[in-house]
Amino acid sequence: MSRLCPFVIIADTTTAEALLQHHPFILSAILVITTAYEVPEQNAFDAVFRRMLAKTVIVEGKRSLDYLQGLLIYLSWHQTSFRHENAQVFQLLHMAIGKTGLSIH
Amino acid sequence: MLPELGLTSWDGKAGFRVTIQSIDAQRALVGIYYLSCGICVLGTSQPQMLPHGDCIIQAAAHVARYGDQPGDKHMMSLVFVMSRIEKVRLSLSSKGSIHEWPRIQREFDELSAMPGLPPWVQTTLLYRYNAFRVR
Repeated sequence: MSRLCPFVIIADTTTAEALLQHHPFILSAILVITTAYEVPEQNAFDAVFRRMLAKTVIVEGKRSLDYLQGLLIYLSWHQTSFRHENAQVFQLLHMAIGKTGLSIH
Repeated sequence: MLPELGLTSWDGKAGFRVTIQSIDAQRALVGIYYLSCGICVLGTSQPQMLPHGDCIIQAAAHVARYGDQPGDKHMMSLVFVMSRIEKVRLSLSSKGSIHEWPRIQREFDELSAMPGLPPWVQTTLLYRYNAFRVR
């Protein structure tokens, strides 16, 4: 994966269990983008991803690199989970830029 | 906007500076710039959300210097290519852009001739070159 998205490095030896424990948001993003051919499952994972994002980042205001990396993965493959009814690429990109602390012009 | 993750901080006249030395954080910062260019400039022709700046160059240079992953050494070239594409896109949307064509063509030629560009960047360049030429 790092060959296609060199901005988030996940070691080959990392297990799903370890990701769940230490980087749950990255795991959630990976589950969304890797279920492109199973639409019901992808919709379910997508809903979990968005709920997790809203709860932790917006409601609880948590700050972690895990969220930024998860967003990066999700946005890099956004075409695999694109739905017209919930297209929020620009909003999510704004959120990711906001998390870096750089001003948006 | 206050730095939420502490990746960058505002330093008065010096502008934004990268404050965290973690390679992962700086890779992520370059990744956000790449995505912003990819989605806004290349993908949908929208205004660029995260313009090119010193902060991005600092992060890319740090990753290129200290990173140990295969993609790390291309970070500077990647940022350079995306910034040029951003510049070309801006010049196309401004008045009198037709007169800019020789300069744009020259910039694309310079970019294509850059040594060590990954094949996917060269494909992107070729695609955008043809798209701009059609316009």
